Amino acid sequence: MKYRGRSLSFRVAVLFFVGSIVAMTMSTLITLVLFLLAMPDEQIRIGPYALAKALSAAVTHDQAGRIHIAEDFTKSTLLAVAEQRQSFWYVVTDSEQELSYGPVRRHTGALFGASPREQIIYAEYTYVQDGRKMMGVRVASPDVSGTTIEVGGLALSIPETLWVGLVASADGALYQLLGIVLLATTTATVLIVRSTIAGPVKRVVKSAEQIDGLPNGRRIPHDLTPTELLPMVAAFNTALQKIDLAFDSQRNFLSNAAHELRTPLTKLRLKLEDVKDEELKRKLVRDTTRLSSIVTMLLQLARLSKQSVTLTTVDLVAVARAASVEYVPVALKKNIEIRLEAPNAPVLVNGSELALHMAISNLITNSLQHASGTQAVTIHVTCPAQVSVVDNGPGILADEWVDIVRPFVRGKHGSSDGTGLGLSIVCQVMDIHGGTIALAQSPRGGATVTLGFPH
Amino acid sequence: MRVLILEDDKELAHWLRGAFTSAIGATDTVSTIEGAEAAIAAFHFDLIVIDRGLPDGDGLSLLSTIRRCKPQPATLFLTAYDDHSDILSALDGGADEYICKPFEPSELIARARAILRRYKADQSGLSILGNLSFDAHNRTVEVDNIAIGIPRRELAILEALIRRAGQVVQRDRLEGSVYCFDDEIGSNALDSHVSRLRRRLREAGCSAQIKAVRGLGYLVTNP
Ligand SMILES: Nc1ncnc2c1ncn2[C@@H]1O[C@H](COP(=O)(O)OP(=O)(O)OP(=O)(O)O)[C@@H](O)[C@H]1O
Ligand SMILES: [Mg+2]
Repeated sequence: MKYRGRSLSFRVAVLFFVGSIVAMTMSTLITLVLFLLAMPDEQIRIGPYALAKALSAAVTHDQAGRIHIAEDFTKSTLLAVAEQRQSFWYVVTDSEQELSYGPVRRHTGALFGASPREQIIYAEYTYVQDGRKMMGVRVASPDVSGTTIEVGGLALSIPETLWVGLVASADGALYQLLGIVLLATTTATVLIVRSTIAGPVKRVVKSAEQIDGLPNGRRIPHDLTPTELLPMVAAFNTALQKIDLAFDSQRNFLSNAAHELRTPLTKLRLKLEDVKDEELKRKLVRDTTRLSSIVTMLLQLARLSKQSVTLTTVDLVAVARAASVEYVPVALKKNIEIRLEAPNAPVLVNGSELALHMAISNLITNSLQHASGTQAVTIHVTCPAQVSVVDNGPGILADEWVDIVRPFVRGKHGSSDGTGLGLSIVCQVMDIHGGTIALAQSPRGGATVTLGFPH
Repeated sequence: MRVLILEDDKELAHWLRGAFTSAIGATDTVSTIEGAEAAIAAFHFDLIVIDRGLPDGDGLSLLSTIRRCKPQPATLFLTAYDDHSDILSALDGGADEYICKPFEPSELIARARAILRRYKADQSGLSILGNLSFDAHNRTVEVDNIAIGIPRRELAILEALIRRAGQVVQRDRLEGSVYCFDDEIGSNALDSHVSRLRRRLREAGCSAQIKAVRGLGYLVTNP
């Protein structure tokens, strides 16, 4: 309900409802005025006729047989208006009695009475009084036989005539009918407005849904868009463009940073070749290597910022295979066997190939670096959606599990060469994927790190 | 052997020139892509070492010029960009080797030599790994200069492995180079071919070994 006020079709419906009422009333009034102007006889008829009809509906006989006029009529505004005229009169008669008001014109009684056996249901006649043409109306009461009602002397202006006409016809049924018509058309309007607005909007939404979020990706096409929505779509497309620009500048920054940081490091490393003292050289080379890996890791972390990672459908088996293959030559040198155990079919997840490659590579590097004495490093891919890297080295102490994933934290068992950033990068990757990282002990001792993906 | 180095950092270029001259042969350096294009047009190089972030663009764009050279020089990218996708785009573009800065000086020279060896093998058709030599033109294999007979399919496997010695050749690649499209491939047909090939080499006293990497493929090394 809260969104009612924002719904276009609701507003249009309200507008339409009010508009229809106004239009209907106006057109009725104009038609009536024109009608009355064109036919002066109708104008003098409507007043007395409306009163005669109202009176005949109000006339009853009480238990004593006396004529009684219901309060509906005696208290009505219709009568009040009529009574303001000096010339207004009415008379109700049955065979025995008579009830009258105002200067009744009597000469017609004899005329009607002359044919007593036929009941005259309706009669009218005109006469001139004070120089104005007037009409007398005589009707027979519908339910009390023998009772007649006669009304006359009612000269009304056009607005008054209109008012009287409308009030007199206010018997409900007409207005109910009008109400139903209005309600039906309003409902129809809501539905039509909905479909005419919702249809094109849906088309725009559909093309918006196809925007993949990849850099320099799709835009909402203008030719499908209704004119009214063009500004919105244009604004949306501009926003996408800005995001692309931000993405590009972020990427450029990272490439520049990589270049600017690594070039001096390379030169530093090469200058160390000239150091004569072997022991000193070994130490310095180690520090430079350490510094280089910190740079590498920090750049990896920076690349993982949400802006620059986009998720698509990725085959975990393919990523694990690509990452594993890269480490086979290094592992061979250390006499460690690398194995991939994966189902034959792809294991699909919503992810970033780049980030996943980074995460799995980091885990394999850890096993090669820290799991001294292990004979094999096994990369398991299982369905649904898990990758674990298992080794049989010293493993990670259980009381370190919580802290070790934090940046720059290194364990007691590992080699001292690391920077302590690897596992925190893995954590960040899993965070981007909405997945989990679990550290555990391998069945035959050693570390098992498992990445779990939502499915 | 002639080497071209495309590197915009003067100090680095100087060092590389010294290292390549003493390890491989005559070495020239240029600092822009434009300069490299002019050099390639004027002389033949056996190896081109390329940096990526250059003042006039990405060194990757040089690959298309290099592909048009006859005979083709080997290419080694030496760059600060280490993103997995950066590496893939270079290798897909035809780069032979991709080394990230900073690098171990000895490693760089070893890798450069390995590529040149591979190129020479491609041209002469002759690959040598330890005491094993494989002649791709005449389809013959020798161990310690003694020819051994190897059936066609096993020979194709050996060729694929030896071309990328020291690196894993994935199963599907191997299968692709051994079987035709319409061959029925049993799930372990490849494995039995490899184990027969292995036995033959071992019996001939070959120093190179074919290793199985579970779940990934095979590789040949000379320990
Ligand atoms: N497979 C493993 N076996 C034993 N210890 C491990 C293993 N993997 C990680 N560790 C321990 O966890 C610590 C943190 O690992 P992490 O990858 O975050 O950093 P690092 O490997 O030391 O450095 P970096 O990965 O940044 O080069 C390591 O120092 C090591 O003590
Ligand atoms: Mg690590």
